[in-house]
Amino acid sequence: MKKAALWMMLAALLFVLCSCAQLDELSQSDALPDLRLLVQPFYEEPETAEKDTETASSSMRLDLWLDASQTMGGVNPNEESMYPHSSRKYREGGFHYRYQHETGMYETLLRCMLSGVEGSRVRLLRCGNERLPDKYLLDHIKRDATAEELLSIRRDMLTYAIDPLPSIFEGFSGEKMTDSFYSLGTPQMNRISAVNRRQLENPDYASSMEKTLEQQIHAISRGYDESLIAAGNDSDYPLLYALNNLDLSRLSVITCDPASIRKLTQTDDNGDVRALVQELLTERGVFENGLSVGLYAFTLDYMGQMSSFASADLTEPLLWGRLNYNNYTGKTDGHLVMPRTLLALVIGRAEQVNAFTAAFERQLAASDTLKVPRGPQKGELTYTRNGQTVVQEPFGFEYDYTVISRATVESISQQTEGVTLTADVPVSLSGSLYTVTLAPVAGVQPDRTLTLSLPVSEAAGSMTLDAEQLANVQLAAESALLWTATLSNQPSSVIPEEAQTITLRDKVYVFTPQQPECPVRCQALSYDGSALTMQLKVDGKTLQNGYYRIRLTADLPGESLTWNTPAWISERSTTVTNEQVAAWESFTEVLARYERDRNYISVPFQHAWGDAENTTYRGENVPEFPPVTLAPGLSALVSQLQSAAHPRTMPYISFVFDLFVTNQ
Amino acid sequence: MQSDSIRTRKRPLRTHAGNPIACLLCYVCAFALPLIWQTAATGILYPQKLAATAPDVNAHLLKAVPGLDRWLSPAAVPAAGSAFSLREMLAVREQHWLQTLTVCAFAAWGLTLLVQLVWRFANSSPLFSAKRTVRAIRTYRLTMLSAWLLNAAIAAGIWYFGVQHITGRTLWDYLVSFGVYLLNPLAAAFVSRFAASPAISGKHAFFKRL
Repeated sequence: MKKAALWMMLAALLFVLCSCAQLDELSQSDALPDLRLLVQPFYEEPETAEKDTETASSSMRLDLWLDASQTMGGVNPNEESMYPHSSRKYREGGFHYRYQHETGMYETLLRCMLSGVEGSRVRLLRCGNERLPDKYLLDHIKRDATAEELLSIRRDMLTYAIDPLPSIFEGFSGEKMTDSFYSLGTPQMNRISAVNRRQLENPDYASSMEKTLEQQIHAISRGYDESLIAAGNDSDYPLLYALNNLDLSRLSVITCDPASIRKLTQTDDNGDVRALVQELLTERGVFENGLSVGLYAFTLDYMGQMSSFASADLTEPLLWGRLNYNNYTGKTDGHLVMPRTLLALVIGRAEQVNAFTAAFERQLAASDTLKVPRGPQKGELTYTRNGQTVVQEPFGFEYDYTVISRATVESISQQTEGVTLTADVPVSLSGSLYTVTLAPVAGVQPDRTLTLSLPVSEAAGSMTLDAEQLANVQLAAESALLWTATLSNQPSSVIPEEAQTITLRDKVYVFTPQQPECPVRCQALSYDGSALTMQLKVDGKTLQNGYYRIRLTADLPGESLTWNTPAWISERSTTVTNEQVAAWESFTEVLARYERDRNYISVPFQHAWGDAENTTYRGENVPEFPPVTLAPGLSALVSQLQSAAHPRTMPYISFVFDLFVTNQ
Repeated sequence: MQSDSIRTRKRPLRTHAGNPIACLLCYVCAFALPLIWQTAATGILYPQKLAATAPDVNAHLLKAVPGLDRWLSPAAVPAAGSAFSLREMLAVREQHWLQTLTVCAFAAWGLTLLVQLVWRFANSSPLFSAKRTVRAIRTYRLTMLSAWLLNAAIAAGIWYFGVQHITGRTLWDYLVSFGVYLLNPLAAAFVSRFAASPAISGKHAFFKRL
């Protein structure tokens, strides 16, 4: 009995030992961890950036660049001209004419500009046809000056006044324009002693700058140095000079007589056409730095002698506007001013430009002077246009405005209203993050298609968006939390710090952050005019269990944005061809040859080459009088501004969603 | 008269001194084993071998006996996609399951011990020990049967309301869940055979004497 019991115990012990060998097999389970226990990687909703808003213009620093070209002031620089500079019939003055107690609307315009920014730090700069080349400044001011320092020194030397009163403009012109603000090489160029030196950008060089300006004035008057004036150089005129010397940290207002814009493009030795304004703005980084350009076009009154028009240098000037002189009585009764277009560019940060224009236009609206029409009445002055005799009627002050800034398109993200992501698998939305749950089918992850629909917003500002040109759609796995290891459920198992774990039975399933290849690609893209629809294909074979965070990005090429150019641009614009330039220069040469010896001015040339239709002169047809009422190259100028503002590409779509790959 | 007493009294009444300390140790060792097993099962084996496998025992109980809702509540099902809530639910469910296993194991253990003690004290009288011993063997078998049935019934309940709902069951599930119900009757059998009352136990008897 005892032996039997002993043998039974041994047998039981043997059975237990053998069972241990089977224990591992019997303790294996095919249960899979529930991946819903994984904590979805945290997604931080991006904050919408708040736009900075500038307060009143009183806090601005403003540079007022005043066109001091001869056409601006209607100044005829040719001493041998058949036209007197000042007489009972003829005057100079241009936009800034002065006749007895009356001045041109331009002065009122300038006063309104100053009044609108009262309280700001205002600097007046004179920008004419005189030049201060880099070499000149290096030789006379500072030998080792950097490019930025030279710009700063040049701005100081062009400074006319700082924080002036509106009455300062009274000194710019007179009934006689000799040595006026608009004369070439005028003594009014040197204003260093008139300003507070401490307010200059380079007060330490004030004495050198004053001395150098005196030397420049002297050199110009004697004709010593041609580099000190922009003489007939088609790619050098006041507008470009001002743009090249702008202080981009300030709001800059540049007045510009469009007749002084010689050429806006230049063909180099390789045959490439350079857009001068566009190139300059790009080089200075105006739009890249987020600045805007406001463009004004004013209809103002003008009375003067225009010795150039666009790239045409005329031997005898164009007479546009004169005094109302009665040949019979020999008396002058008022002036007969004519309309012309003046441009002004406002360059600065968007909020500063908006603040300035708002204040300026309030001043314009409140000005009684600008409400009074001016000009000849009852047929006092006529001229020919397109072969027809035009009777000039009184005209009033008018202006048009547009603003050009770097194209902005509201980008689309998962926070955009109307964005949807759909599929034939469960898709959930938490906040603004879509999560697509992909479960296996028969133990295998099949390929799947997701449909992403994105509403297309209109472009900001005066632009039209063509979203069909969407390019460079990219999908990337920004991050992933994937099953990388299976450890034993023992305290001795080492789990990485950043890992998530799911414990099931005797195993710990470890999920760690990864940077895998993106398992999603864009298969198709369509645009129906209001929404972009993308078909995204998920490659089931490459999927691993866990979370993928996918980011879809796409850019818009600059060509997808087209500007909605206002109609007034083309209405105020004209183009000047080389044929016209040749005709005008030839005609004025002939005029000078035959008319200068007379002691009177022939009737047809007393104003705008007369008012008779189809006239001939010395057997030749008199060419069409230059279109001085319009702005030559205005359309091209706006086009170059728009091109400079146009980005090459714009980030348009940034959409993030999660893929949750489960195992059951 | 004297001859009657000589005839009826064949031998003097002998009472064997028992070994109470040995019997007590026997009881402690035997009945401690199921408790130790259950403690090891729920405290060591379950976390290391059966983590996150607890069934929703409360829900199954309430489904069978709705009247228990006053005392029981199922683990709340979290909203979809909430991993934290799901983990909390699983933790609550595990807590309920371990509590159920412990309570049932303790109840089975206590009832088994009670049944065994009842049998012991019912067979502790020294009178008519031979006859009593024969009857004790019979009642022992009945008592063991009832102990087995009792443990089997509770184990069946554990199976019906819990273990059958565990997916991917392994040997460890059975050992942890039912091991105590095997050990309880074995402990009762052991103490019955080796720590029986001195009145029915003997050196070479059915009931051994320590």
